[in-house]
Amino acid sequence: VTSRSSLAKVQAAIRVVDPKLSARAIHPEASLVGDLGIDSLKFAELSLALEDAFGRPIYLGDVLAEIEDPTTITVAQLAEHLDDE
Amino acid sequence: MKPFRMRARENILELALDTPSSSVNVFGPAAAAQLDEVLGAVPSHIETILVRSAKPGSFINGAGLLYANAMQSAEAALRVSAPVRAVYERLASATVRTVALIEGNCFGCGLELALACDVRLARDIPETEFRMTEVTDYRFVPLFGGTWRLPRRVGVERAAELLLDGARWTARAARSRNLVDAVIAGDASEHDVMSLVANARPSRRKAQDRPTRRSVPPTRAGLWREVESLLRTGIHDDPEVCLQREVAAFARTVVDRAAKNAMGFFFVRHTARAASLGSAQRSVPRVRLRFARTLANRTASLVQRTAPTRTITFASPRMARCGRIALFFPLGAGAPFCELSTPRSDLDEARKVGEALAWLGVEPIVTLAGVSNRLLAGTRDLLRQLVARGVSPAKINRAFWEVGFERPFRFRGWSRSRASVPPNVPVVGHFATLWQHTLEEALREGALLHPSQGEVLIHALFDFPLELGMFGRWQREVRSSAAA
Repeated sequence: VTSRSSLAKVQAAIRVVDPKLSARAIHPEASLVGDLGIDSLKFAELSLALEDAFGRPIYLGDVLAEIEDPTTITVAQLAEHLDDE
Repeated sequence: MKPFRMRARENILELALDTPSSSVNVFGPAAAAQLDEVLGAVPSHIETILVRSAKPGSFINGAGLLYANAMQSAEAALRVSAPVRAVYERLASATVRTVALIEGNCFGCGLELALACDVRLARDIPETEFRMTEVTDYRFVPLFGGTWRLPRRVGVERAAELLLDGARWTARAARSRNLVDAVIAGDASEHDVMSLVANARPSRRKAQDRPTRRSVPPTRAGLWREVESLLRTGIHDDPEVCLQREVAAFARTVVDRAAKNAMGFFFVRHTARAASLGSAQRSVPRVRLRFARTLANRTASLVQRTAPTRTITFASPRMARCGRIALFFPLGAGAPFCELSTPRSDLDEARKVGEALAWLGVEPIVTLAGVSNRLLAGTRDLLRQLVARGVSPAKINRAFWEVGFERPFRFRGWSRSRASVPPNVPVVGHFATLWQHTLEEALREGALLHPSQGEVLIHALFDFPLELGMFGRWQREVRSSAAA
């Protein structure tokens, strides 16, 4: 189960990377790649934004390597992964 | 929004790639599907299809690493890549004339897309650069004709330079090596460009030569030999056979641990770029273009001076200054990079200069104090100490070679012996520990803006092997296995 605060931090970090995205678009089930247009370059920026939000080092490359198909990862799944770490 | 913008200009159908929400063009599944659709329904009055870019500085930068990274098995790799592969073959066998107009980075699958066209035109601007990144950066065999269409155009040795040596070609170099059919002047008008698009014909020069056998560390020898073999047979065997071989080699190598590690490093590299520049995405530099070109020329001459050697000389550092920003170009071969060292008060200015460098294909690492210098000076001192203690240069070189470092130190007696040395021999450990301590100190002091910058410095300066992934993680693994 994803904690509410982790989800909120992930959503806020995504908005840092792409301020044009509306809060409504970044819903928990939105796919980072398909729905929010987070490509491999933006994942790098997202790493830094998440580090600021969570206050610890985060290498998203490592997180993505653990997921069977990183192109389908959702906002909630990313928050869950970061919760588990 | 679709990736290609389409426009009919008399009998020319122009397809301008503009990957949505991205600073560079990516030829992913959406672009492939649209191109496939277009090729399936070409209006009868169209005689030429022109593929170009609507993004400044980027023709095509890649196929989207997330998709390659997601491939967990050879079967999945074959299944996921099949539709994109089919589009390349459809483009290559199109009944209308096809022209690629390259104005900007033309990397990997972008170069292969250009090869699938009948005619290739390249604009002579600093941003036009041809590279094949699959083997050297990501450790897998390319998928869209790189091992057979490419050698048929440029010869086996030239193809190996691109695929295995990480060569970067300008528009003029690509013309002289027969990769492109014509070069367009940087300031040519759109009218002149379209006139060339309408009239250019493919050059008929025949490529024939034999590759030089390359000396590479054991960690990467298997992949390098396989690609050499594909290139040698790719130049004359039946295209269908070459295609099948290439596809099988791709599916096997893209899911290998070495490729996963190397692809993981992509995210580290771009995290370092984001920390250095404030954004990982490439933006058109905010500095004046004239200044950017001057900087490019300066960079090119520095790179040229250092490029012929695969060793670090430990000579006086190659520094350039731009106000209070020190630019440090320690080496040029492989992936050129530059450390920009600046006081915090000038960080924004340094980032602008860094953006210009990134735009021109030089990896910028912005730090608040020179870290490359410290790493190199420490390494030089450690070398002296070890030699004074009686460790032979040959042993040091061999140890690095066995672990997979290709760019260690300039020593008389540089040996490429294959004599077996355990991968965690103490001599490598001495250096790795020194680098780790130097980076930790730099992070504590705030000289490095992010740990990922240290990873990039170690890779760029000492060629830490991509097969092993991240330096920090490797160090931890070596330490914990030693403790156990």
